[in-house]
Amino acid sequence: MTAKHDVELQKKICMDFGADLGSELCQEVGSLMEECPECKVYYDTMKRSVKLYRVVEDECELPNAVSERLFKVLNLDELKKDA
Amino acid sequence: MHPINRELTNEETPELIQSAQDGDRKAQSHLVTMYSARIYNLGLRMLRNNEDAEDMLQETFITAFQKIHTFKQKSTFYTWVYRIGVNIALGKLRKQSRMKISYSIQEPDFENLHGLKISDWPEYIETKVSDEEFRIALKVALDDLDEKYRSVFVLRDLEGLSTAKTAVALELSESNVKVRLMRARLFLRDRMNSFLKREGWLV
Repeated sequence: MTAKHDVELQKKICMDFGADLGSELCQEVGSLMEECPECKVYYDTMKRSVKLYRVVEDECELPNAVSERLFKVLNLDELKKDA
Repeated sequence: MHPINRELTNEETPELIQSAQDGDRKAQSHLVTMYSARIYNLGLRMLRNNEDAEDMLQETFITAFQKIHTFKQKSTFYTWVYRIGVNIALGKLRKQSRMKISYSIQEPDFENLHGLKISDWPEYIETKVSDEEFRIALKVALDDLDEKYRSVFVLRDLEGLSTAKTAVALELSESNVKVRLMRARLFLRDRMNSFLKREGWLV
């Protein structure tokens, strides 16, 4: 099998299985990609961009005003302090 | 009525759900307290603005309590209410997408990457997430991602749902979820790469 076939296979594996980025499967794909340095850089930077999104899109607290309006619209505002 | 006589905890119990189904307002209030932040965050991630996320949050709980008698406790209440939230968010996105320009997504041709100069990102990129401009660039790229790809990316990579659960939530096949996820990741990677080049952070 040629390097090109390997790369195509790696692409198919990730596309077809949509494996989690840290999974064993994707690590195998990563090791296969070492035969194609450009593909590896591309793939690694894709993984890093997902990591960056996990930081930037981290969960925020529910703002008090939003919470109060929610309880009010549900007619639960009297119970909010007890919940 | 089955009022809750014991101390309320942050655990979802069959008694708590039964009380909420029987109309116990205290139990309902407790469920809202337990899950409203998570649903709001889902709304923010999918809808990309505070107002829409708040609307989605309210609609989700209104719908949940209107239909709570139909909840059979085959899943957790959280899973059930989460699904309602996803559906409401998707409905809003579909309305918005009629007015929005969508960016085309091209699959990279890995074979063509051979021999191309593809710059690796510097190690310090991760430390740049506190940089406001960088955060905005990341968020804008996600905003620009077509709704059908973004929903998959949000549920799989940000919310951490499995492929199977994402497929159920979005009413897609699992293979469709996988393909859309990969395309979303690649789109975001390419947008980020362009930003880094523009800023002179890539050699």
